[in-house]
Amino acid sequence: MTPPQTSLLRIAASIIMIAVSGSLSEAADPSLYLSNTGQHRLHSSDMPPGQIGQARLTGRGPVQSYFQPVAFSGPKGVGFSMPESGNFFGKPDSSLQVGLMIGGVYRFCITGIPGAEGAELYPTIELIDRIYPPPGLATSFPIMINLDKEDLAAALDGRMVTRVIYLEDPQTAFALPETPKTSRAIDIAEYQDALEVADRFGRPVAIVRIGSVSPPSAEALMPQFFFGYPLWAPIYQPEQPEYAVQP
Amino acid sequence: MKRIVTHLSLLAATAVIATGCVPVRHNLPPEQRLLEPGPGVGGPGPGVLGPPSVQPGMGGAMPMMMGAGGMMGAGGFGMNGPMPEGAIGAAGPDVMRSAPLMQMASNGSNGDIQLASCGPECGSCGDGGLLGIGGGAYSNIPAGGGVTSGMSMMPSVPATVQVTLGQPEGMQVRYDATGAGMFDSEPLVVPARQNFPQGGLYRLKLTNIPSREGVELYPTVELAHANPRTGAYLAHNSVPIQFTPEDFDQVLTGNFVTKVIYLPDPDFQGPALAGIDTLVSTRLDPGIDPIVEADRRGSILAIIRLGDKDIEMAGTGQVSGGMMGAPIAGLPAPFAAAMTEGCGSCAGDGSGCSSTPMGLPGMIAGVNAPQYGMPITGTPIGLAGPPHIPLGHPAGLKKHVIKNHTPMHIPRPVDKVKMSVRMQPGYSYPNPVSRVRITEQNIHPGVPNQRGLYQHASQQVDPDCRQ
Repeated sequence: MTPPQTSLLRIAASIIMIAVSGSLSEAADPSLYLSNTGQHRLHSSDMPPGQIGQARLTGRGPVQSYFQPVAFSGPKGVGFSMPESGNFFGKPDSSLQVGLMIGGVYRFCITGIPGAEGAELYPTIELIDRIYPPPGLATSFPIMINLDKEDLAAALDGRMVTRVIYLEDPQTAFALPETPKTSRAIDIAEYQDALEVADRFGRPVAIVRIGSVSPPSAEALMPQFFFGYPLWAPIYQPEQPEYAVQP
Repeated sequence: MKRIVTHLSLLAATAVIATGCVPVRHNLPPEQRLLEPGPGVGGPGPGVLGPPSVQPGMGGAMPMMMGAGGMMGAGGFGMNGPMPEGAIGAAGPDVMRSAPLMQMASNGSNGDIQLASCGPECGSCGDGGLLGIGGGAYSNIPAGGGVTSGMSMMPSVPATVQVTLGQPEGMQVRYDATGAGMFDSEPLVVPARQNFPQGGLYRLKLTNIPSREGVELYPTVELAHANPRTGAYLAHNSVPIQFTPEDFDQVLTGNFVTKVIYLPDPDFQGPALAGIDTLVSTRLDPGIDPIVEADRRGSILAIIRLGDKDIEMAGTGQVSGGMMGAPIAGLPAPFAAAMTEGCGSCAGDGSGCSSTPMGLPGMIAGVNAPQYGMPITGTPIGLAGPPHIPLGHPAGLKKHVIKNHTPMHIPRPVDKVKMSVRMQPGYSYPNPVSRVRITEQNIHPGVPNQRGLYQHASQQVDPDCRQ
């Protein structure tokens, strides 16, 4: 073999070595630094109320200044009311529907609890995302907040109940209408994060926290109790004629 | 020569395969992005500023200045009139700015939507304010829940903890309302609730203890600051404080009882347990500190220390000194700050707060750590010698050399950072259309010199069929 041919082969071999070494020196796989669950979660349902919603406002999407309709429902006889003027709650409504803003923490009142006459609960609802109904039909597709007896009884016993309401993943959702009667709640263990579980099933949109705290007696503590009086918009239902048959 | 060419071809092919320089099969972006007007981008990209946000104080201050009827009608929605139907899905920032405060109309028709809020002091007090819609730059909700003071000039209200005194029923509890050792509050008859400012140490006075006539005890309650772990719980639940007959028996026999109420971490919270847990020193094994154990298991909410010392006895020396005033009228006055970490969301008056400014890390050079660049290890030259050196002698040490043999590799900071980003698989768009060829062929050319029959308007049919 002549010397020029030998040098040519050497150059080619060196090119191959460089190419092979370049293909082997890859960066570390990011999955090596992930947890066993495959991800590190920034938020949990145990975080103080308002933090997740405020974080959502920094994200993309038309979430700022949007009044998301929310409909409350519960056991028979239970009334829901929102704070109005004078630090007092309004007239209880069994099917209250209001427009709430994302990022705000709203304290509302629950009265008429079955089996606990006279007792009142003051849970909070925090909107952490919105839904996108067809234009003009926002009030027809509110976020349904359905509380059952077990939630209210547990709160009256001094326990804290955290409900994360999520929008079902359309790929896995049942093609059935979601009504207060057909609403199903998933009970999880205490050591599980409700937000993580809800994130697995769909897109979390609201967090309801129910406890047994009562309003403070000092007037100066009221803004703290009501989380700064965030804005909300009442939504009035059409008046049902007397002959209308209730479903 | 042919062999050389063959070898080179094989080597080139091997190099191409090794480097991955093979034709890459790209895939298209999702359909939603293809429908966007931009080049596969929907909405502003990173680094693009959004619309200017509303200043925090605007929502709260505007109603105060403009009064009930002085609305800025930027949103087009009147104060007393209902919003148009469908407006709830399209309310913009202008609606937020012009939000009325106190109005609630009577029942209306479907879609009647009015903005409501809030309390009477919403526009006047600095603590209230409205919802901050400015994004993450502003949040009126601190880590411990509640709201922060929007105006620094206004008197701040501390974050509080609601305490439930549950057992024994019928016992009366008093606390300091005006001064140390006064116990001049209205007696709370158990079961009762009372709000306490966070991060304080409070002295209680227990009287009328059932089945223990004449016994008066003076326990202390240390309430921790709220933290991100306990903020949600404290915003919705009260901290239950209970005294059992066993506690009183232990105290009256001369023992000291420490009860620690804590919120267990998920690892220490079994499925059957819920809420909070309590550790009592008399029920633990000897040598186990209930505070340390509770801190290991979760986040401490309150510490109760109960002994048999009579605080109000003359000469006790407990009534003077160290008393901190009540933050607002009606709330208990702490006599010391809690020894918990962090400042929570306490008031800006310094009560119960550490000296570290809010929002700064714990160790600050020059503040609570040595100044940057200042050595903390000196040489003994010029310093006073140890006591075994005879006095009167001049300093004999002339040279003091310390050699650092620690292997160090501290690279210099870089001036420029170059990042190469490669998405795999990448984006591959179809080539844009540059040439269109249209061939139109009519199978049925239609009626010559007339419009097509199908283009005629409907005509009245001649009943005689002459046409």
